[in-house]
Amino acid sequence: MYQTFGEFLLRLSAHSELWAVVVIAMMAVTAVALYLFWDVVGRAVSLGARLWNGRTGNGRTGNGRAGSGQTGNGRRE
Amino acid sequence: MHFPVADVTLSPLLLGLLGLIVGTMTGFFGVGGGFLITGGLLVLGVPTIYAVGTGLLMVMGTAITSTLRHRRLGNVDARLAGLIVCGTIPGVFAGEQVNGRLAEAGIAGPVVGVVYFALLLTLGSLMVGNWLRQMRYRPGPAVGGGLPAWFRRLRLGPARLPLPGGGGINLRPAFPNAGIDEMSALLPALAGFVIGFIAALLGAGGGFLLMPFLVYGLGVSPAVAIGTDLFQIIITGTLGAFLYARDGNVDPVIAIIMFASASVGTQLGALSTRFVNASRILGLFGVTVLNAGVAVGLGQLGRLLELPGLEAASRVLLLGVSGAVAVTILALLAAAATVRARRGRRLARLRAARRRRGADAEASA
Repeated sequence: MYQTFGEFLLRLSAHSELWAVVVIAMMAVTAVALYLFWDVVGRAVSLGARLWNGRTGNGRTGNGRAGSGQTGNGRRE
Repeated sequence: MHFPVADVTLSPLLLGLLGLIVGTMTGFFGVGGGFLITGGLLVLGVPTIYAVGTGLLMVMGTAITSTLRHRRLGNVDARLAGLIVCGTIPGVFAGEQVNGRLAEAGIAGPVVGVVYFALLLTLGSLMVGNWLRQMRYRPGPAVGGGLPAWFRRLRLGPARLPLPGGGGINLRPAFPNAGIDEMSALLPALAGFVIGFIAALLGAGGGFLLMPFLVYGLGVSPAVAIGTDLFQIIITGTLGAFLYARDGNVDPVIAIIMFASASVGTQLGALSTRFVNASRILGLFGVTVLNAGVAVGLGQLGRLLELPGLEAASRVLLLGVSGAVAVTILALLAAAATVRARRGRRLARLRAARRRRGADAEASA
């Protein structure tokens, strides 16, 4: 499979202008896709950290309010 | 793993590690990292022409990701970047022409090497010197003395460009993100031309020149300088990568593998700029540039004296110190994140205590 892919790349690189455009476009698309991917990961981690901080905040109070619909930040969800 | 276009066998793990180091430095310093990528690929055994071409493609990719990231953080002054790019494009073509003439005369290698060495050593020494002075006497963000005020007062060309239908274009605009109230529009374009010219002559992205110019020359904050500088690197990187790819001197598979790991480093590096103070960013950047200068000098000496060991030592020095700087950046980020997490937990405890006191007061009432 990888060998076939390699042969395809070698055949494509024979067409200089097309090859240059494909290579540039491929890198640009990968760059934007990876940025979006890490953006989503970053948001998920940030949300997770906020929820986790909220939970530990509640857990440390020991006031028995866990599951009462309030987050650790004291905000009603 | 065999890479058919460059016809070379390399370890993808080593490529990934190199990508991670480069990505961290790109996100943190706002440089494309061309000098580092090319040096690293040469150490791994990639033929020189493919190392340069693949390096430029990678510079382009990391610059796109980093610019998008810095734009979200509000670190890009689009107007300033646009004007710099207007000068960079003709500068790149002029630099390539001169490079071609030098190559025809057979002196391109030594000239490029000496110019590179002199520039990196001068810039690195100035930045490290400034950092050390600040650490000893005056901690805080660096702005190159009276130079920014002088540049901002400089009146280049007319203040307004009249248009046929009435009205006109203001040629002394403000650059709000960069914190500049008024500056001649020709100045960044001219700076872009000079930097594009030198970048094309040296086969680099030009970030190591533009970033210090924005900070020390125009007095832009390092965070905004990094974001704006990266925008310009997209243009120089794309142009350079296109020219090399057209000649078949780019291996996209090597670039993509390195880029995937670099994207992790880029995110972490860009995030670090929010927690690390400006003086420290410039100091670390100065150390990296100075080290690159020493490595280039050693490489040139090795070629001159025909000592391959010296050339190999220069590449190892380049990668070793850059790797250490990347680890320092990640350690600074980890330290900042730990402090922040502790502060968050303390805040949560305080809130909980306040809530408990409120509940007790309600109960007693």
